[in-house]
Order: sequence, then C-alpha cells, then structure tokens
Amino acid sequence: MTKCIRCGVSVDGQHKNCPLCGRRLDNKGGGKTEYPAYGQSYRRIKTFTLYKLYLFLTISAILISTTVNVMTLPTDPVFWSGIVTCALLYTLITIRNTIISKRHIGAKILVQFISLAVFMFVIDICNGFSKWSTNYVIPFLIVVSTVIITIIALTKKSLWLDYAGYLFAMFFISLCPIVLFVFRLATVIWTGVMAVLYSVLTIIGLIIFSDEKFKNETRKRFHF
Amino acid sequence: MGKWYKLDNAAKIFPSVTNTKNTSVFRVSVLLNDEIDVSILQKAVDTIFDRFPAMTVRLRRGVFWNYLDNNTEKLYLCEEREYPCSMINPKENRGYLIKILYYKHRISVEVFHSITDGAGAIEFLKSLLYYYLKFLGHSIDSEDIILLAEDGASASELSDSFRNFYQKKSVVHKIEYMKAYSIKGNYFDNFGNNVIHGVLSASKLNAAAKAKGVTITAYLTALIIYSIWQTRMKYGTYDNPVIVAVPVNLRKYFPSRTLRNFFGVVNVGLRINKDIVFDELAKDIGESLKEKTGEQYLRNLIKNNLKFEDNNFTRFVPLFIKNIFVNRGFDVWGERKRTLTLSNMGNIILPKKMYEFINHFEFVLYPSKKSPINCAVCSSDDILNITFTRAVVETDIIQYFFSFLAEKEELDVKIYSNDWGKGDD
Repeated sequence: MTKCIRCGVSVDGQHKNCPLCGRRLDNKGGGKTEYPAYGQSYRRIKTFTLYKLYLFLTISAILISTTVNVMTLPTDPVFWSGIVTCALLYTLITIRNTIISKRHIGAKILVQFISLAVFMFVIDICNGFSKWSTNYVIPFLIVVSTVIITIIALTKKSLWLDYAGYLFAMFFISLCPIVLFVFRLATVIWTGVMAVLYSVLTIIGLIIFSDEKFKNETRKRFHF
Repeated sequence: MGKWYKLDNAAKIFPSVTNTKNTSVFRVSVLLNDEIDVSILQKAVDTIFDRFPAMTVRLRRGVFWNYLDNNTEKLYLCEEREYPCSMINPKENRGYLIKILYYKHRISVEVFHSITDGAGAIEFLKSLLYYYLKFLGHSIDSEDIILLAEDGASASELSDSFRNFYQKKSVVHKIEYMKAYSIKGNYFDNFGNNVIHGVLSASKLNAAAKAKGVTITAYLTALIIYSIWQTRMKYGTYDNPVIVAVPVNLRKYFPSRTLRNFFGVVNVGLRINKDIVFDELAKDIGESLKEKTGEQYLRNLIKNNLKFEDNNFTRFVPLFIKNIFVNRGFDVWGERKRTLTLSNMGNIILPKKMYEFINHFEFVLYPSKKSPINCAVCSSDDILNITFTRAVVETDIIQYFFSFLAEKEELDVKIYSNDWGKGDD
C-alpha cells in the first residue's frame, strides 16, 4: 500500500501505477483485492478468413456483372445481371444461414424458403414475368416447407413445442399467394388456396394431437 | 414443470436494449480474507439453488412479451476471466442469466437486470456466503438475516411488487424532456470495462455528509456533479444540465419482500452556468432527493412505468415490433435524460460472526453508450466501497472525486482497480 502524492489516496499493493493518474508508485506487490490478468481476454480480430474472401468475391461479381449488363443494355436488352446477383446472394445466404449458422432448424427452413422464393420471383421477372413463380412455385414451396417442418417435429417429439411457432409463421406466410393474386401478381388461385388449406390442417392437427405440456407452453408464449 | 414468471415492469426493458456496449449486467461481489475453496463454493451454490427460483431461470421469447422459464441445468461456478459486467450469453452459459465467478479472494455474482435488482442479488450472495462459510466448518447463527435453503421460497419473494403497489388514481406528473450533459471519452483499444474501487470509512463519510446536512447518497451525488463541473464544464459554456439518475430501492418505502426488481429511478441535477459552491450544491441535491423520494412521487413513478405496459395497444403488439420502439424510446427518454447513474445499495447487514471472514463487499454497475462512466456504492461493517465503472480511457472525473474525499474531507481512501486497458500502449 503506497500513497499517491498527486491524488492523496492510498493505492493497493498490486498496482505499479496509480489507477487515477498513472503516476509510478513504490508498491512491492501483494493485496487481497486482485483481479485476473486479462492478457488472453483481449480479442484479436482475424483480418483474413475464408468467409471474408468469399464475401468479397461475391460482392465484386455482383458489381461487375451489373455494370457490364447496364453498359451493354442497348445491344442486349436482357437484364441478366439480376439473375446472377440473386443467384450469388442466394448461395451466400444458404452458406451463412443454413450451413454455418447454429440457429434452430425451423428458422433455417424459414429463411431458406424466403430466399428461394425471392430468387424464383426475380428469375421470373427477368424472363418476361409469365408468373410461373407466383402461380405455382411459391405455393409449392410453402407446402414443402410446412411438410419438412412437420416431419422434423414428429421425429423429434421432445422438441415438438419449438416447431409450433414456425408452423404458425408458415400459416401467415401461406396467406401471401392470396395477397399476390389480389394484386394481380398471380393469375391462378387454386394453388394459393391449397397452400393455405394445408397450413391450416397442419395447425389443427397440432392442436388436436397436442398434450398438456403443449397447452402450458402455448399459455406462456401467448401471455399478454 | 409449471414454474414460470412474467417479467416484472423494470425487467421488460432490458432484453430489448441490451448489446455489448450496454450489457444490463451488474455485479455484487465480496472479498474474503482467505482464498476461495472452489469445491466448497460449488457445494454452497447447489445448496441454495432451490431457494432462489426466480434467479435460476432462462429467458424465453413469447409472442407479445419475453418470459422467464424454469432452468433445470446444473449451475456451475466459473473462474473469473473476463472484465466485470461483460455480456451474458445464455447460449454459452447453459441458459442462465446469472454467473457465479471466483478469483483468488473474490466471489462475484453477475446478474442480468431482468432477473432482479441489487437488493435481490445481495440476498443471493448473502445466502451463498452463509453456506460457504458453514461448509468450511465455521458455525454461524443466521440470526434471521439470511434466507435459508431449508425454508422454501415464499410467494411474496416472487411477486411483481410494481403491480402490487400500482394505484390507478391519476396524479399529474411532469416529465422533463431536457437533454442532459453527456460525458464523452475515447473507448479502450480493446473494448471492456475498467473498474476503480475506493474504500473508506462509512461512519466518517456519514459525518462529513451530516456536516453539510445531507445523506451519503446526496453527498456523493453532489460530489460527482461537482467533479464533472470541475473537470469538464468549468472552462466552457454548456447549456445542458448535469443529471444523475439515482435508483431508489422501493422496498424502503413500500413493504415488500420480493426478490425480483422493485426499484424506481429518480433523476436529480441542475444546469450549471456559474461557479458553484460545493456546500450549496450538496444542500440543493439533498432537498431534491428528499422531494423525489416522497411517497406520492414514488407512486407516480410506478404508475407512469406501468402505464406503458398496461396500454391495450402495447400489450397486443408482437414482441419483435415492440423491441424496435423500446430501443428508440430508451435512447431518447432513458439514455439522453441523464449524464450518469449513481446507485447506493446501502448498508449490507450480516450475522455478526460472518464479518470475521469478510474483507468488504463491492457493487459494480455497467456503463452504457451515453453514460460511459457509472458509479455504485455499498457498505458493510463500516467499510464503504465506491466503484466507478468506465468504458473510456479518461479518469479525470474519477480522480477529482476521490482526491476531493482524500484531501478536502481528509478521509483515508484506499484505491484499487482491475487495470483493464493498461497494456494498450
């Protein structure tokens, strides 16, 4: 314990410098108030990783293809760079979200579905927008995603409760084709209706075949 | 299986505003005379596990609100390696929102603020200490001061006291919208919290405060404002007032045995534009604090907080949308309204025999983006510990504060620190 002349306070033995002003002290060590040495805790950010390289290449490819497309538009009036951009972004999302990420599998399926749907939609638009994506592909994807979530939930009976949330989310998403139809972005309605119907049946099945534990969990998750 | 808890009013905010720069994790710790025996401490943790059901929980996302669910994983000790009040990641902590750390002579309990406040956390630490010392072989009479594992947790300890003391009668309450003076600084090269503790005699500081006619809290609040004035504001013109947020333990004013959050935040401060005299400042702050801890004022505080929660519109908005608004709202009405926080836990009372083995307690607050320096105070057995937590390099305000106590008030102040950021240059 030494006094810091500048500050007028006594400083515990473990400090070679005064914590208040930095002045050097005569301390010989010791003290029962020690904190750990933080050497290992100081974080070092890796400047080069494989993922950062991939990200850089993806962004470069997107910018280059868009520039070339825009500059050659007079001779070749097809907006192909939109498809290239979407494909690259979709691959990026797949790698980041589905493969590397440790999120819940329900969330992964949801993100996969949304990115795939957007990708298909963009291809459709760049190819004259004959509406095959909104008429058939998107409702189909909705049904497939719901089926996958249901199958996984059934095989992992103990984690049944977590999947309920994602199935509810899929229900709200299944309303989208109907909305698209209303806004004339789709011309066929029966596929959208089929998707909603399937979603509703899944949820009704969930409620009927649920146990007491599920009802408790629902009460907790929906409390207001 | 069925045990779960809705978040109390104060708790609801923290999950939405928490990030690395504002972790919402505070710490209560104790320094013992001997080094910690890890296996005995783990035994003590296992013993009190069931006595504090509101602390041994995990945070879950609901559709409209978050809630706290039972956590059945074993609660393990961890050797302290990170800086105090670092972010608690439930995924790396077996779902728990509390951490029990040890290092040499120190036992620390770090708590995510949604679980409880300082008063609740200190009860947990007291019980932990009691059983630790008992298993070490010392015979200690709990004197009805410690919450014992043999008694079950009572419903009153788990209640949401904000609800219990909520009066619907409306009283007009002025909400000030002044933007407070904010302390600026440079972050450490390696981001983290530096803590500086000052240890002094509680009775001597009390005497110094009484000489000015105020309480210790008022005295320290006035001193921190005075220190900011002297080091940052004196040689310039600043229109913004210096406001100190002082959390008040509502259990002192309303009878409650809850071990969850039950505090209200009172803002005191003033606009300074000419030379101030410390004695007058202390008197002003003392009166301000006294007025703002009157029963009616505190009831208004509770009512205003609960008003947001009970609004039918707020209740039925999905959580992910609420988070966006809470984040913005916190920044405008929470952060910008104050310069820093000063929290005084008060005197910690233990069974007489336990004092023999304990050096002193520490109470550590977390800094936030707009308040990079915060202050926490606690005392026990006449030893008062004032802790400044800072995420920025500059120590001028803290140095002035302690030098004032040491030189002008002639108190014996001992300083120690965790020296975060020391190796930066």
